[in-house]
Amino acid sequence: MSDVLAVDAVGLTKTYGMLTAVDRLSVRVGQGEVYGVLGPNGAGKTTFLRMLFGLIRPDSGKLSVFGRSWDRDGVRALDGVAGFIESPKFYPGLSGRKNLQLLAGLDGGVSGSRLDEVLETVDLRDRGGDKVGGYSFGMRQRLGVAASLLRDPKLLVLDEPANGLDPAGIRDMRALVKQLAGSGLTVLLSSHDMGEVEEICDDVTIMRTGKVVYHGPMTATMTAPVVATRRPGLAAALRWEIVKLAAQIRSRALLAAALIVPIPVVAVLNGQAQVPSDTIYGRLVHLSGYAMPLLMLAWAAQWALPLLAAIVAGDIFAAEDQHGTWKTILTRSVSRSQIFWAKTLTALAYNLLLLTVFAASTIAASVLIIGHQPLTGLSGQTIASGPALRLVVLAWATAIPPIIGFTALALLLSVRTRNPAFGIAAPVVAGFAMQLLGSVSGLDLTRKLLLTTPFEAWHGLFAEHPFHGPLRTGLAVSAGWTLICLASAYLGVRRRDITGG
Amino acid sequence: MRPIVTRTVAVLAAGAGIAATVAAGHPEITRAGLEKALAPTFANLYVQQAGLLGIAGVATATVAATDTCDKGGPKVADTGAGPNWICMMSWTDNKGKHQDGKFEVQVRTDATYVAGGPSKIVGLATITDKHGHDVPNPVFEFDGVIPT
Repeated sequence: MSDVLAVDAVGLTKTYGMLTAVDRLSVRVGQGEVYGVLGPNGAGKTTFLRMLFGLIRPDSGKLSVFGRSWDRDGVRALDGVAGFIESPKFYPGLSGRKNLQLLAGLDGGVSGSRLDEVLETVDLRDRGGDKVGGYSFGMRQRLGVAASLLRDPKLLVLDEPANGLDPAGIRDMRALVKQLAGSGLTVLLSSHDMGEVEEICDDVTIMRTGKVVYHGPMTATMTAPVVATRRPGLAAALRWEIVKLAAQIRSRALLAAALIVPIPVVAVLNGQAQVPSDTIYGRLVHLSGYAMPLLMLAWAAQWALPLLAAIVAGDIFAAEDQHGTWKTILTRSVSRSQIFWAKTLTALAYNLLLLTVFAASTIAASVLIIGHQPLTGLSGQTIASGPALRLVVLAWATAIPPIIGFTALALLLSVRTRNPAFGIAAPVVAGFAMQLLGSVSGLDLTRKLLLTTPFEAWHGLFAEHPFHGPLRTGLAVSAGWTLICLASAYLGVRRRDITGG
Repeated sequence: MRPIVTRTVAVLAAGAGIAATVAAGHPEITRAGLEKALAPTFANLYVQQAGLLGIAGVATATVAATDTCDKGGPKVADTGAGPNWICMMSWTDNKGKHQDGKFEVQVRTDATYVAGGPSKIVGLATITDKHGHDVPNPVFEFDGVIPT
């Protein structure tokens, strides 16, 4: 037996500018209770639940869930808690079952039979394989309940679960909630419908314009203490992000394009009588298969590499805003930090894989189509085939630091703008602007600090007496951009109030 | 601090930072750097041309190329990128004769350059190699890099 309250909120206040959304709210929910929070739209019910899930921070007051608080315990405050805020959001391109599997991954994984079980509970077993994009509103609500049940919660939080449903859907949802409440779960139900609360709940808090206007009686029902579950950690979040990325057509198509596109480009350039002599190594493309990858590297650095770096990274955070899924993933067992690092590492790993595939395809296509003749260096010296290949691979490898820098820039824009299109396009535009600024004579120090300059650091490798100053500077500049962008993005994710979706 | 104040301070700080880097910069592309890079590059390519033509006994040491460069005439500082660099090259040709030639050099801000030699002395864009094939003339126009 435990006398720890399921929810103990004391004097919670949250304001947005001039609006006080929640004003000194105190709510105490004992374990095993079915508790209602009743009030009209705008009463502050959802703001209270967002604070309970740690999606927003209270300005003042104390909140603990099963004795744990966000300030002291971080995401552990959600141990034994599940539910959804407003309408639950899922990835529309994935099936209901796949969505559940992914979300369960954030809690440490789940067996197939357990998935079937919760789908059965919410009467979605037959439609589990269908894409969520094709689900009705009521089916998504029920999938939200299923996602919550996967956490085996002691406290189930449901925010207006019957909202937007047709009469049959309302009847089914109420029956489901009553069934769950009857199983011994603590249920915290928010609703604007008095009938719904009366039908389901034992006790109630009634709110109006952020303030409590009535508290129902407290019961002393107590149940067993919450046992902390195994923490899934960063590895689980990383697995979840990788599986999600692998399921995207765009990410697979981009990898395929990086593999295939260089082949016709090399073939066409090799077939043209006129050589692109305005770009470095352009005049030598017919003479050596090692000149073509260097020409392609010089071209790609102008816009293609920043674009490749931004396509996944610029979308990876903002897509959660687009789908409204922040509240879905942040109400599981992983912290914001773990989500941040999982997304960051996934974007970085994907971009490095993309660069590797692009480079390998370009070099292989060039050598196979044009040949492995010796290469003329940038001091006019002749470089034999073997060393030339090594230098070409090294030249492409020098693009890694600025690619990481552009990835970090795209991640930052994805976090701050919450707009996938902006997150993808802005780094490319920034890259163009930096190229333009870098082409202005007389701005030597400014030029060194631009993120596009390290893309040119390979030139020194091809001198008769190689020099590495630009490589060292490029590495330091890329590291600086990366650290500043990632730090800003991290703070953006950590401090953000999740109010939308 | 209010967001508008924070943003204004951030924009001003970024602007000041950029202005500082513009003011504090010093030119990396210099006359000495170009002269040091161009002559050996030409010598190497001249040896390559001799090889294509099947002329034996030509080495960078026998070519002994030297150069003097200037940017845009006496009123322009001999520093920085630009299309208006002129370099006077002196070398010993494959017949042992002394040659002087004017090379037009376009230097880019990334410290790479394109140099074009006088076709009357170095030959046209394509030459006929020892096998009778038309091939690009390596010293007619070539890329190079200035160490920075």
